[in-house]
Amino acid sequence: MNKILWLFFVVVRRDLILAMRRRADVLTTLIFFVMVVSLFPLGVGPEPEMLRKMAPGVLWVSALLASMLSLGRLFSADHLDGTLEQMLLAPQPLSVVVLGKMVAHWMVSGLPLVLMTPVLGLQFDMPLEAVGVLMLSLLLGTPVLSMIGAIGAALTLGLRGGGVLLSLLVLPLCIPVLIFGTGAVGAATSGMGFSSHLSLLGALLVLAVAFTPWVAAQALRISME
Amino acid sequence: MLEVSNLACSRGDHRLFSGLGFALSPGQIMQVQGENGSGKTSLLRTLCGFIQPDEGRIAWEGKDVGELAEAYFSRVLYLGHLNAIKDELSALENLKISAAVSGMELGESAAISALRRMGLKGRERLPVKVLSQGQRRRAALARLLVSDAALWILDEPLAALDVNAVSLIEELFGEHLARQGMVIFTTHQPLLVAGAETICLSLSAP
Repeated sequence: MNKILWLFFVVVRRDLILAMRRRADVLTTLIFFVMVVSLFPLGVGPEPEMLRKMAPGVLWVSALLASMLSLGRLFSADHLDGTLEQMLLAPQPLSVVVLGKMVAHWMVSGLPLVLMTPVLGLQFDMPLEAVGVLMLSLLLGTPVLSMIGAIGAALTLGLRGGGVLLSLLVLPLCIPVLIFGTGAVGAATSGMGFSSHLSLLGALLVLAVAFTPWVAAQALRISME
Repeated sequence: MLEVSNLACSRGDHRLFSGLGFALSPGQIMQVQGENGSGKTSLLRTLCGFIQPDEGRIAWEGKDVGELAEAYFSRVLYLGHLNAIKDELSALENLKISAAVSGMELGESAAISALRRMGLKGRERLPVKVLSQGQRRRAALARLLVSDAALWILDEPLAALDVNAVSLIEELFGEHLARQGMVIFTTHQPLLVAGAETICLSLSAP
């Protein structure tokens, strides 16, 4: 058990160090998110009522697209220099390595989006409570995006034009997360209880933690043949 | 002890080899020979479990490696054509991380002395991307010095190495065999290990 935890932390730490050495990749995701979200008020006009209403959807869809950006590199960089083969030979289950990579990916490309949300919420004149609920829903939802995305990244590893295929594979699977994520904010602004939406997001997260590492590990073994 | 019987492997529709069998006992070294495209790399990758063989059985100490899985992986050290080192990290960080992934905690001083023996003195903390091709290969091969794996599977370990490094690798092979280790490798250069007879396995292109 200890060895499994140790390997998990080794992989997370390694991927975080690598991300810090290649900061441009991290910033690309964040800047893309900020740009896309900021384009909407410019495009649809400055009516506060409409902006407030569309804010959760815009932020969620932008977060979804931004998380697609960095997915392609999740395994492919390690595949190209051979380090992925070494991870396949780790003396612990491959799912542990994959979970570590998923968590590191979320910390680098999901967590910054969550932290950026309050600032972007201002642009849409969102009430404080709605911003809080939106952050909570993103906090529960973006890890699920990273995990589902990892399955797609593992399946499309080494394919030419894999990036587009990856989005086509992964985006439909992310629809439930999007629905419950925006639904929570919608419910909060209209004065209804939002806890059921967040519970469902939490349930999705638990399911994703339980199953996606194993599925992505199997997909990796197939892609590496 | 590694036993391979009736192994067959194909890439796509192309059959690379079939009916291949050999056994390797502790203290033995085997060179896989064959022309380009005869399936040397595929054989080594099959032995590592990356490729599922079409037919045949690979057994480690009498048990099928597919069933042993992680227990077998912990006994294997594989180095392929790719160096498996990260350009952004230093040779020292690369060595420590790859040791950690293979389940070993490696101290700073042990890692540094391994890199010095590989001839990377003074370059331990430089990012690998500023090193030459041969130096990168040396950084990758430093894993041989710190690993406790019994079976070394090395694909073209001598690529990009100079004469001094080649004799160092011969020395490392000798030490590993003296510890009752096993080595399977491919090369197109002459390599002689003192005090051990190299078993040759020829793959003929079909």
